[in-house]
Amino acid sequence: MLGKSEYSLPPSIKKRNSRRGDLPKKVVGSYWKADLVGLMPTMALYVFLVLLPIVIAGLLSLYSWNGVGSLRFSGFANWDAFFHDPIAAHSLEVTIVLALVSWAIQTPISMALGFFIAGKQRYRTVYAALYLLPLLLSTVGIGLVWQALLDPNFGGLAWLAQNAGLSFLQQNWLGSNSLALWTIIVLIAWQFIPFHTLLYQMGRRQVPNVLYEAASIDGATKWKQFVHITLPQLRYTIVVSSTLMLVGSLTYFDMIYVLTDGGPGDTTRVLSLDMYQAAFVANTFGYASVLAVVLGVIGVVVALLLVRFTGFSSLSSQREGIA
Amino acid sequence: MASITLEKVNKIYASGFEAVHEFDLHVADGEFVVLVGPSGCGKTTILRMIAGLEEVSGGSIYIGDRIVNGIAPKDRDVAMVFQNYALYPHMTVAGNIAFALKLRKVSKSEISEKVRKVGEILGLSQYLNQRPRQLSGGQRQRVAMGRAIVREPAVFLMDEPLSNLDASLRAQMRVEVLRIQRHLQVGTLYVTHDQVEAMTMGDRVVVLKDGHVQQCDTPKNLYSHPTNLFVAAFVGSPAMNLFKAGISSNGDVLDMGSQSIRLTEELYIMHPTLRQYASKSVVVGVRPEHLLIGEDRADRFTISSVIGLVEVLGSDTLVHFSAGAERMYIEGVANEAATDLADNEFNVKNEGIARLDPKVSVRIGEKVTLSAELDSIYFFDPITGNVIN
Ligand SMILES: Nc1ncnc2c1ncn2[C@@H]1O[C@H](COP(=O)(O)OP(=O)(O)O)[C@@H](O)[C@H]1O
Ligand SMILES: [Mg+2]
Repeated sequence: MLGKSEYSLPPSIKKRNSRRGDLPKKVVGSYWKADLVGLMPTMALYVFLVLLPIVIAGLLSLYSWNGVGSLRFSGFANWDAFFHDPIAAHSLEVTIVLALVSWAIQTPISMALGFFIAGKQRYRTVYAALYLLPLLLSTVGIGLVWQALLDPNFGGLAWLAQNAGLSFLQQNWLGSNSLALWTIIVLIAWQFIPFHTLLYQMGRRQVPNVLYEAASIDGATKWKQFVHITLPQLRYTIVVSSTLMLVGSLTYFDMIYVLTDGGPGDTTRVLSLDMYQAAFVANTFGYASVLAVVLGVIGVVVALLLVRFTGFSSLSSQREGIA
Repeated sequence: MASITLEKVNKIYASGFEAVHEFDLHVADGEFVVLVGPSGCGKTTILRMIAGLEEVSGGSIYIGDRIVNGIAPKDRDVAMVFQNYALYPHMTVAGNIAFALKLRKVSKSEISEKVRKVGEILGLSQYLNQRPRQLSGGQRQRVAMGRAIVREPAVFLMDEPLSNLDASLRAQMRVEVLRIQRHLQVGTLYVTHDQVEAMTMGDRVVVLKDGHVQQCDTPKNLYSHPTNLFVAAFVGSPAMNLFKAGISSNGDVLDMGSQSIRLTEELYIMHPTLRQYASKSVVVGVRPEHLLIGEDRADRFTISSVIGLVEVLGSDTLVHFSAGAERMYIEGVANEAATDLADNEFNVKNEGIARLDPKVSVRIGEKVTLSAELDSIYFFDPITGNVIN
């Protein structure tokens, strides 16, 4: 057996290695101040863009207001109504299902596509442009196109069903109770997967290839490389993409409004649609504000949880220390 | 543990560039072989082909008795230390070292025991829970070593593992890498561009240039019996003095620039082939450390010279001199002679270096006779570059 190494590092190297933990308390304190100052612009943005609207909606939820006349304080009446409203409960459920299923479908597909494109050297910019196209089109426009394609009598899919023998395509995609929500989920995925594909493609291209080489020499299969190199290296990409997906689908509105308006029945009635109807159809702005607060709070909580669980808040580099 | 054998291995990159040409090598089990050559000569390519990270364009690679062409890196049982270490940044030091064992489903208790032991061998014990980014270059290098040795692989491959360290740390790690390898007795192919590292570490050294093997031998033989100009110039520091010269038609005199040196019968006995070079050009080589001041005797090889620069190193004194001869430059080898000081006040254009005893005192501009034993003089064919024996 070899003896223990006696060798000690020169002081200059030791010093370079010392972390915040080794510093005297006073210095740590001033680090904190520096952190706070650095956070100011972000905090200001957060207050204006996130907190303020929620607070305003929160205040409005305590009033009864038809949008034109004067505000009338009504205490927690709107909230009480919300907690006893079976439609709102159903909408909340549909919203959560839509968000979770969308995330579960879009994430693996975006990852797979993103990694695939990351490997291709040629035509990458062409792909990128093509992939961004759906984002450039207006959602309402996309919705109208899909409506035309999915029409059970005159739509493109129906045509395929009749003329190409693909009879399983003959469905009332948007009009059937059992299909409508899934159709919507697929269309939302179609709309947003390209963007997330780009995110994952960029993330994957940032991971140094030598890590995969080292892992393969260490005995890792492709799957183990994915689990032990790709996933941890893409932690931040995953957090960002998942936050955008979840929060985005929680508040998703326009295509559902165009395609089904919550129907058939209320099978695709999401909370944002409920909110729209409460505000602009029923003119009950106080009640709509309750729904807005609920949506806003769910969104913020989801984002915070994602950040919390994945350690995004530790603000550490994912690459430093390779060499 | 196993040997490494390469037979006529070629590598032609997709660009059409031939990086490695007909490369043969055998690294015996437990042997430490160094692959040395200037940057870009194909060293990394060879290591990557052995590791399976790069496909061979021709030839065969064996690890032990098993031909590994076409076998995935993960199934070759090699460990590689990358030039830039390639540590997993999201894992702790312990995690980095343990990774290969975890993949092999070694039991938790065995893993922690092995990691602890390796940490001890490499002096990393107190860093096991830190991340690579919290470590210094030297410590990262040790983690990379730890990751390799913990696996007890069939062979080690090391790609310039010390090149990112500063000089003193490098000297220290040289000893440590050797110590570990001697202890583990694993066949090792070690790549470096530093001939000092190669000479001090290798049981045998392969000198590579432009993808072609120049010589494969013990450090001692490389130094005393270089087979060609490149090896002669590459091995040793400062590099061997190489002067362009011609041999008279009767073979008696060596014309070396402004001076004529008698070619004695004794020299012809040592280099019988030299007789074929009458009225032809040759390159004369003599190592700086074999030159002495004075000793102007018939049984020595003498050069009259003018001193152009004196470097006092303490242990030796390096004297740059002019012999009125033309220096032979070898592509890919750094040349220490301070020829660019040609415009010094004595107008001495330095073509050579002598490493002298520090007690000898010489002045710039002084005319001295330098001499060497006849058996430390080399002759090379200027066209083929091969040594003339
Ligand atoms: N993927 C590649 N494609 C084309 N040429 C390459 C590639 N990798 C290396 N080379 C070339 O092959 C030669 C040898 O490279 P390398 O093995 O890295 O040299 P070394 O490690 O000795 O510095 C270099 O000239 C380099 O430019
Ligand atoms: Mg290299």
